[in-house]
Order: sequence, then structure tokens, then C-alpha cells
Amino acid sequence: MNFLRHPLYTALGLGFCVWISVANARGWSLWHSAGPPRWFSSHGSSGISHK
Amino acid sequence: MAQYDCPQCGAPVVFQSATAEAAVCGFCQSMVVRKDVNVEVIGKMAVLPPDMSPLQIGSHGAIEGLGFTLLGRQRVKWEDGSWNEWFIEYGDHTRGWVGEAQGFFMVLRETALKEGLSVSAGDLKAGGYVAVNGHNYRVTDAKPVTCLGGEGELPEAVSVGEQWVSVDLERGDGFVATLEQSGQGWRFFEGKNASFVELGWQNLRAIPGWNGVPLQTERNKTNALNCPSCGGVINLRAAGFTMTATCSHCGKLLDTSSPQLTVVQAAAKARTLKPAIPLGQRGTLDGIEWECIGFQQRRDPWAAWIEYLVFNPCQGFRWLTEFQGHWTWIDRLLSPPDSGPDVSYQGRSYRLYANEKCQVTYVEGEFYWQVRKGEKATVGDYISPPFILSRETYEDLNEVSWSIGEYIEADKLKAAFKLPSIIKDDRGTVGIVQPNPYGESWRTLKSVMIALLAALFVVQIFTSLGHHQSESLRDSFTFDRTLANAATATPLVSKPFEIKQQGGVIIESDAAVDNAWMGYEFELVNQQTGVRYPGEVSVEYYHGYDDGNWTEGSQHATATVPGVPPGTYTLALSPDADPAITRLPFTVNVKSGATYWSNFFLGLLCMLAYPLYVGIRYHLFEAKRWSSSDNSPYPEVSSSDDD
Repeated sequence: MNFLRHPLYTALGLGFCVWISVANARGWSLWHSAGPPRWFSSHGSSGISHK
Repeated sequence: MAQYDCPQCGAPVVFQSATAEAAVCGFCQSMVVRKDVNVEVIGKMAVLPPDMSPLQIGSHGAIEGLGFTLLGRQRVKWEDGSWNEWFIEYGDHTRGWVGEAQGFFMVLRETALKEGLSVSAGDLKAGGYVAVNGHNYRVTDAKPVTCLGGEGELPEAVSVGEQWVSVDLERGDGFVATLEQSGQGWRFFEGKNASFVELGWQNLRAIPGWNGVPLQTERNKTNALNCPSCGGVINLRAAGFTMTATCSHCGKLLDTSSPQLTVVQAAAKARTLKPAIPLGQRGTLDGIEWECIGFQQRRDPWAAWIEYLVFNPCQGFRWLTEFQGHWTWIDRLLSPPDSGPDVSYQGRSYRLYANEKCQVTYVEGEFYWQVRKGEKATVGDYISPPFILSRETYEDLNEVSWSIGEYIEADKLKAAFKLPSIIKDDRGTVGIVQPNPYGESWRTLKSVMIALLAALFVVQIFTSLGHHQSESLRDSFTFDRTLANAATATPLVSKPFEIKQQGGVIIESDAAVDNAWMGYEFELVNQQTGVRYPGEVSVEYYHGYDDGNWTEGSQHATATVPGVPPGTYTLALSPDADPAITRLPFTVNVKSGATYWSNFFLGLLCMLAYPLYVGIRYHLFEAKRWSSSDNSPYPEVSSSDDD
């Protein structure tokens, strides 16, 4: 019954479950579609300049 | 029932019980004792001072389904207090006793000591243990007592001033007992603790000024007491229940255990403390009316706090303590828990917060024991917010008492006692048992979070299991700088290939780059719809020696295109490479039907964010609560917020 004490959080969790089901069925990836955030991308690159 | 004429005054003396051997004449207070078919007087009992007990001879109660009637009582005094012992007859015509002290009741029957008792009264100390009739009892109290007087029927004659030793025992779950040692040896009484409500009292005495009964002055009768020091009138608010009161005129501390008041302690030099709840102020909490009858200040090496004593004739006494604007409602415990580093009581686990010596530094009003300024005790506090268990050890009195408290909001008290204002926390301090505003949320959220994350993981596993990656294309191409630099450079295009299942597409490439790079931009082109899915692959591999061998990158690289529907596709490539490379063969391998864990981890992060926030706030609050304790489970935090 603790779920009823946190209805929004429970709804969010169930929403993620549904989203993951659909995303996996369609082969979607939020990360690969949108790419990493700019700050993550700039810090995470190899720094090798090749062009 | 038998009725006799009092040999002293001729008034009728009634014996309701066949087992009562003595009765106090209600007219002349003679102790009348039955001898065969006659009665004789063996002495005179003192007139009992008026008290606030709602019980009277003829009141009915019941315990565990067995009714009983009060037939008489004797009032017993010890060094620091007194109580009523009511002689009762059960519905099955057996007899027993109800001990009434400060609103608590012990319902007892006398039981024969099966194997005798080899200890002496002096061996029995509070906190020790003694085996009686096959049970191991803990000693809660051991003290010499004196009979103050009596009324009604009694099982045997007693006289004013008669003394014996009373040892109170308990063995948990409300089971209690009393050992009494007099000139005739040990007597043993066993039974249970009970509250006023549990005993279902009927035919109670109306108490003027309480429960809607108007205050009235009885004609030709005065109960007024006078201060032996200044002569001022002393009006006791809990007469018969309290042992000490301060004179409201001169401030001297008086012994009120008998109508002949005596001075216990000189007055404080000045009444320096103004109580937040004035003496005599009444308030209703949870439907029960309480009157503030006294307050004391106590101090340990670190801080001082105020304790207010409130009274109700039926419920007895409760305490309200105030420290830094945080209030706790406290009741005494009849069945103390075993204490150690932690205490478990009624299914809750309590943790030791503090164990300090403290003393009374100010006292005003009435109290149920003979409180004195300077009275010392060691107080151990065990907390499980919003509850607190306190153990008070009075080494001088050979007594250990336990109480249980619960945090109460200042505003609730203010409304209950109709106070214009009340001391409350306005500095953001955390009360020792103040409920954690994130406590309930944190406790319940943990299980919800675990359940939802488990569901998320299961969904991820099962939905990704349905997808199988399959190879759709394996081809080789060659980068040629001449062609790449041509003005009419055209992209390299793969042969058509089938993607059979909706999903992600993985494009892998291998190229023998050495301290160089090569890469290509690509487009995955659906031959039926013309939809294009662009991307980029970069293969780079560097190595060298700089304080040791190092490498960076790889001769293998991948790119992924999510959400590609099934169909026939071609792959168009526009390669480029390090200026040092003029020609370089590379392979392209296209796999379809991929699923991604990134969705799961993004969901995981989102699901963790809120519990993380609640958990951090919960623990910061707890760390602040425990910052004043030597037993804090939290690392020491700065107390600058409290300053």
C-alpha cells in the first residue's frame, strides 16, 4: 500500500516501464537519438583532432 | 452482609464481606474487629485527609472479565509519597487489593509463598531480581511504609503508624507483585497493572470542579490548609495525590502528605521562571481535561529544560517537557523495558541518545513526590522519534522509573490550553524526538523504489530478449584519396541488403590505421520509402612511448542508428582519412535488430533522483538531531546552524 502514498512516483515508474517496453520493441534509444548532452560530449571526447 | 453497633459510639458498622475481619466506624473512626459473633474496638483510625481520588467505597470495577467492589481502603505513606490500597471483593467472593497511586492501578490477590523467601528486605534493591513462586521478578521499588489511616472494611485490623516494608515487583507484560515484610514475615500479592479506562470503573465519586461537577463549599466543613511559614491559605489542586507543594504566597516548599503541612525547603530567592503554562491552567488533549499543577526546571551539564506536571483525577499525572521550543507529552511506564545500548519496547527499537546526571534547579507548584531543589538523578534517554523512553535512576532513593513520551506540536498545546502564546522553536533547531518531515516519505519510498526498479529491470530483460541481432551486410571498401579529392567525388554505395526486424542498426568498421585515423559519414537509405538515416564512424588508433608505452583508440569502431524499420536498404559512405593516408581498405558490417540498455539506465537515473533527494534531506535532519548526542550514528556536523 506504500504505492498509494507515492502516487506520482509510482505513476512515473510505471510510465518508465511502459516506455522501455515500447522503446525496446521499436529499437529506440533516447540517448543515441538525441546524443549525449553538450557538456558530457565535450568532456567525454578523446580530444584527438583529426580534421 | 452483617451489621453491628459500634461499641464506641453505637453507630451502625456494616460488614459487606464475609471475609473482612475489621471495619472502620464511619462516625467515630474506631477500628472495629469481629470476634466470633461480637465486635470490639481495638483502636482509632485517623480521619483521612480529603483527596481527589474518583474512587469511593462501593465503586465497581472489573479486570479480565471478573468484577469487583471496593469495600474499604487504607492509606499508606512512604518517605516521599503516599497511595491508597483499596480492599476489594471479587464477584466470586474472593478478596484482593487495588493499589491506587497517581492514577495507576495494581489489582492484586494474596498468594501463599510456596517455598518461602530466604532474602531479607535489605537485599532487595531497585533493579535487582528475586525469584518468587517460580517466577523471576524485577524489583522496581523497595521501601519502608507507614499506615496513615483507613476507612470501610479491611481484611484485618491495622493501626495508624503501623509499619512494614513494601517491595514492588514486575515480570513484564503488565504482571506485577508486591512483597510485604512485617513482624509476621513475608506476604506475597500478585496481579496485573491496569489503567483507569481498562478497569471500567462505575459508581465513582463526583469530584467538584471536574467533569462538569461544579465547585461547591461544603457547609460547616473546611478543607483549607495553611502555610506553616506565612499562614497563607494553601489550595491543593491534586489533594491526596501530591506530596509537595510550594506556597503561592511565600514560595516555601511544603510537605503535603498529611494535613499538618511542614516546610521542606526554603523559598527560592526569586521566582525567576515564568511558566509557559500557568499553574491552574486547564486544557483538553484528546478529549481529556488536564490541569497544570506544577513545573520544575532540570539541568544536566549541557542544558536546562522545563517539565510541567499536569493532573486529571481519573487519569493521574502526565508531564509536558519543553526544550528549545520543542514539547513532549510524557506518561510513566509501569512495565519498564530492559535497557542496554538499545531498548525494544512494544515493537519499536529505541536508541540511546544521552545518559547524563541532572538535578532540579527550580520548582514551583504541586508534585506527587517530595521534590526538592537540588534533587539528583541520572537520566537515560532512548529515542525512536516521535517517541522517547526515559530511564530516571534516583540512587539516593533506590528507585528506577521509566517513562514514555511523544512529541507534541507547540500549536496543538497552545490551542488545548487556550494560551495566548507559547514557546516554540523559531531557530530551526531539531527536537530530540521531533518527527522527521521526510521520515514517513523516506520509509515508504524505499520499498516503492525497490519494487519499481525491479519492475523496470524485469521489463528491460524481457523486452530485449525478444530481439535478436542479425547480420544484414558484410562488405569491404577502400578509401582512395584521389577519388575522395575529385571535384565530382561520389559516395561509395553498398549493395542492397535486408533489415528484417524493427530495431537499432549497428554499423561496425575495421581499418588498419596506425597512428592515424580514417572515418566516414554514412546514410542508411530505405529503398522503398527513401527515408535516410545519417551517421558517422571514426576509426582512430595512436600509440607511442612517453614514460612507458601508451595506446589510444582502436582499429575498430562502431556507430548505431536507433529505430530503423524493416525493409531493403543501401549504405552510402563518404570516407575521409588522415592526410598521410592515400589508400586504405576497410570493412563495414551492418547488424540489425539491436536494443539498447541506455533507455533502462536513463529511466534508472530518473527513478533514483527523487528518492535520493528525500534520502539526503532525511539524513541531514537526523544528523542535526543527533549532533548533540555522544551516541550519534552520524559523522559530526557543524552546529553553526544552531547558533
